[in-house]
Amino acid sequence: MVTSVYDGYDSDNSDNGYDNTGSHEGEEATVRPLLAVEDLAVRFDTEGGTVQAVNGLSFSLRRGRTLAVVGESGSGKSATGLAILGLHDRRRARISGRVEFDGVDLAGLQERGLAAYRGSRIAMVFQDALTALSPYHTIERQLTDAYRRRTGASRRAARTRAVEMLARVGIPDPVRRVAEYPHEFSGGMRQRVMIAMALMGEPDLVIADEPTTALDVTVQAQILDLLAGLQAESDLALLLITHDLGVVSGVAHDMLVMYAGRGVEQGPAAEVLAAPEHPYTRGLLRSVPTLHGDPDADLTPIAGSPPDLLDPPPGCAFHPRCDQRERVGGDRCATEVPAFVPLGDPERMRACHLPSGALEALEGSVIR
Amino acid sequence: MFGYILRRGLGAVLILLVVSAVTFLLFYALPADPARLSCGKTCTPQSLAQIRHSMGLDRPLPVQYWQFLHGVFAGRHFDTVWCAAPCLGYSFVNQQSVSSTLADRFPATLSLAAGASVLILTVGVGFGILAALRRGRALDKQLTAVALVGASMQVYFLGIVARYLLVDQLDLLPQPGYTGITSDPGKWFGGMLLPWITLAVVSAATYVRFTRSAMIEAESQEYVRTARAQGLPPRVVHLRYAWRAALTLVLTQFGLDLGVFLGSAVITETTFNIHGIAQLAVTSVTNLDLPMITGTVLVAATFIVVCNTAVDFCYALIDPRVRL
Amino acid sequence: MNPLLEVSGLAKHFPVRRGAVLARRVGAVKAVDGIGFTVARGESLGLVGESGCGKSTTGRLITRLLEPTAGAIRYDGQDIAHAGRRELMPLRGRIQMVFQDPYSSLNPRHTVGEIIAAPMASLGIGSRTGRRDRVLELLETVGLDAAHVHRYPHEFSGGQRQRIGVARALATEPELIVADEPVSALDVSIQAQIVNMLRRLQRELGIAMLFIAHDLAVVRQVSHRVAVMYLGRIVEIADRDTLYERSQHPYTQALLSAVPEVDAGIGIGREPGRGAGRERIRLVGDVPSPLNPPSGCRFRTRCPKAAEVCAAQEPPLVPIGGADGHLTACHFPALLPV
Repeated sequence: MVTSVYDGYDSDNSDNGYDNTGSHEGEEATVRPLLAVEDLAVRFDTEGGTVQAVNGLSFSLRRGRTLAVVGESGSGKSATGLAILGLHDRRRARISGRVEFDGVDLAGLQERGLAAYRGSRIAMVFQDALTALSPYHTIERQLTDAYRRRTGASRRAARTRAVEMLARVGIPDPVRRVAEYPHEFSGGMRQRVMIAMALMGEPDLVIADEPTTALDVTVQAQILDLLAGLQAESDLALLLITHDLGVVSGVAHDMLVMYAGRGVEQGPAAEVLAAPEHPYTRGLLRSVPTLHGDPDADLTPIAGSPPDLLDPPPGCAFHPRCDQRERVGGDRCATEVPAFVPLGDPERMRACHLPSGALEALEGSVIR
Repeated sequence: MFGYILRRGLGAVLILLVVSAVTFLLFYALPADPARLSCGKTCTPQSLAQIRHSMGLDRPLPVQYWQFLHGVFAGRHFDTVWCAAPCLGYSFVNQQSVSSTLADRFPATLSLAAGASVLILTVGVGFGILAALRRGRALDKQLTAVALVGASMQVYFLGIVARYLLVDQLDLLPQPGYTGITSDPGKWFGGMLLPWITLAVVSAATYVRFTRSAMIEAESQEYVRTARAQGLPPRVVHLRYAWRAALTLVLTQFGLDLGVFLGSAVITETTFNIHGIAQLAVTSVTNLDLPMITGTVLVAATFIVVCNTAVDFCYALIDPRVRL
Repeated sequence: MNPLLEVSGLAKHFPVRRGAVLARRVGAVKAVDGIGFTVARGESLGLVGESGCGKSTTGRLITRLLEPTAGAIRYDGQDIAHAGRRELMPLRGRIQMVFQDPYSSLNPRHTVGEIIAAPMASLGIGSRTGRRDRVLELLETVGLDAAHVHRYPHEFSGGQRQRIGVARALATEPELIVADEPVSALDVSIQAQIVNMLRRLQRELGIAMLFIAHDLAVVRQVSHRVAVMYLGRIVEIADRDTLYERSQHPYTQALLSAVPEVDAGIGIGREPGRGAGRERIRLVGDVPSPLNPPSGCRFRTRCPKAAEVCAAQEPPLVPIGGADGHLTACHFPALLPV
């Protein structure tokens, strides 16, 4: 916070007309991420106590890149996606930290300020389009409602745009289908409608929360191709929330692995997948059955069960299931939360007490 | 859509046929002899046979039912009296055809039901939505508290107290009672006002609570979140997206309540001295006026069937998935 | 030797009715439409396919939770396709089922011990103490702490609940277990635990298994043979290695090719989404409705090889290739060019 420009928009967060390239020193502007999440925390108050769904998470995402946030149920990956747009129920969730999007801290905005970003600059694609689309309204209504309100477009113009977007995501006969209801579409086509909806406002960032999990494999492949194609074509930043490492391998540039609300490993997807530095990432990779491994050999699961978020283990949340804790001296894993720090390369981060390179030295790449 | 309506209409007719057959059987097959009842104390075997013949009771039961149906659709003779279609029978107790008595009494009950429904729905649903939107805040708590008090009231108690205070003492409202809407609309409205308000206070309370919870449930629907994620303002999210889901629940409840309403109409009509169908039913039972009892049962059944069909039809309008 | 289970011409059509009062039949969802296969004693048969292919319905027909519209289900020589409740009773203990959802398939008000003992109690197996000992033994078998016998399902994680479900299925020492998507509701790290356990138990106890799943990689881990279903029909069936390495049906090939896999040699310097190491077969469109399946070969609307004959004639499921018991229903079966 050195320049007066920064001061200017710090005091006026809702100014989204700010030009992020114009008033900066050139080099800083080119590397500055579109989205920078810092120390994000999401807590839910439940009957059993407070659930720390996301706990001190930081990451960033540039234009034209795909970041996969990977984790199992309860890892906090979906809560992170919703927190970026402030979509949690404000009565139940408490959110802290910074969500800086194009220079503005979204976490500090009220509902009204956030509405200026939702659907226009940042769009969401949800997992199950059958429940995420209203069964009571036509596709046209759902695609154009927010668009018309935002742009003041006529009904006719908005419909034309909706038809264009449906065509762009590969829905045949969009002129006719725009007047139909979600239940009249097949699962794959419905997910395409969701994506078309996200594209209506020409967003800079798309947050896709498990966009293919509810779909069959042959259809999943189509949707992943579509997302990757749109991303490349529009220079979108794509935040892909998924549990499926195969999906990550297919479409992501970078990945962030989450466990019990914290980031445990981050880096270029190909590097993390080929040589994981965190025992959890390695464990995940080894537990996935593949079409090419030895089918007569047992899979290598991670022992134990996922942590109870109401009462997470002390120290490293993964330590009760970790097969490497013996290699860390004393009971450090059970007492000290490992810091999420770079491993030499600033892009490659990890939160583990093991020395860097310890896993690779153990047995090399896990990919068979 | 047309086929759907047609099928529903046919279904409704079928239900009414079954209801009429059941009531017919129940009443005419019972040991109580309608002929003896209308014959009076000094009844000779001759006059009994005469009455029995004029009522058609000397024929076999299926023939009687057939005649009854014939009367409904085409009219029939009772002895010398012609009873025009739709003829539901002839009350020998009041020497009047059942249908004309019903036609006299039904508008009062309908006025009561229709006006009260409008008031219950607007007030109950409106405050319910308001409470849901202001969930957890002062307004919500006040509305919920008022609703609780209202729901624990009874029509006969609240009606009598309100009548004493508002009509007799303060003279704020006219005396309750029914006047035909065509003869004097002003008087009709004035006379119905107190019954409507009383019914609304008692039932709207339930609707406040019901609508509130239906709205809160609807807000947790994923597509409501999608609407928020699109940047739609809260007003649109609530009233266009969440409300649509809540509406189906409210409508279901309302459909069920219409039947209950008819059941409790006896109390309402007695409390406010309105001569409607329910009162008629009670007097007919006391007088063992079997044709009249059959008539009121059938009218009540028709009313409920028609209302439920209308509710189902509204369903299809609200929810495109129901369209058949 | 006779197979333990022999299914032939099995079909289940669910009538579709319209109208509430005057319902009339407007068609039928042909969920399963004439399938046949066998399962030998101690053998594990995988049944894979996408949603709506009829794999779960098949499982429910075999356990007779549903009654088939047509066809025969010969269990140990006896046709149970239309057997009544009384005739099925002795079979209930011999065929058991493991369900997908470990949350809704266990009664939340019963303890784990009661849940596992229930099938034995209802079939009158063993004494009270005998059953209790058996429950403790079963808990150990599925890798749960025997001390937890008095706990309730909500005190367990998803993976542990699925272990309870397996223990319940094993309680009556069945000869056949029908497992319907037993691991698809579980997280990856837990899924591997359950897959290993099911495989170990199947092999060690010599139980025959019909393993129903949509995940081809999981099926590969537990099955000796695999059948692929599409819109109510079996399109290909073969032993595991043949199916995964030398499949002849274009649908099987597309399915295998669509599985997103963590591949060696990916990523670095690669455009994401622009194909990993292997060339992918991309199917167009979604699975058609089973209410009105395409004429001829049901896969033809999405098949890259479709020709006129495919619309006119349904290809029969016939032996193909060299491998024993490799059947394919395709007019143009071929190995994928390598």
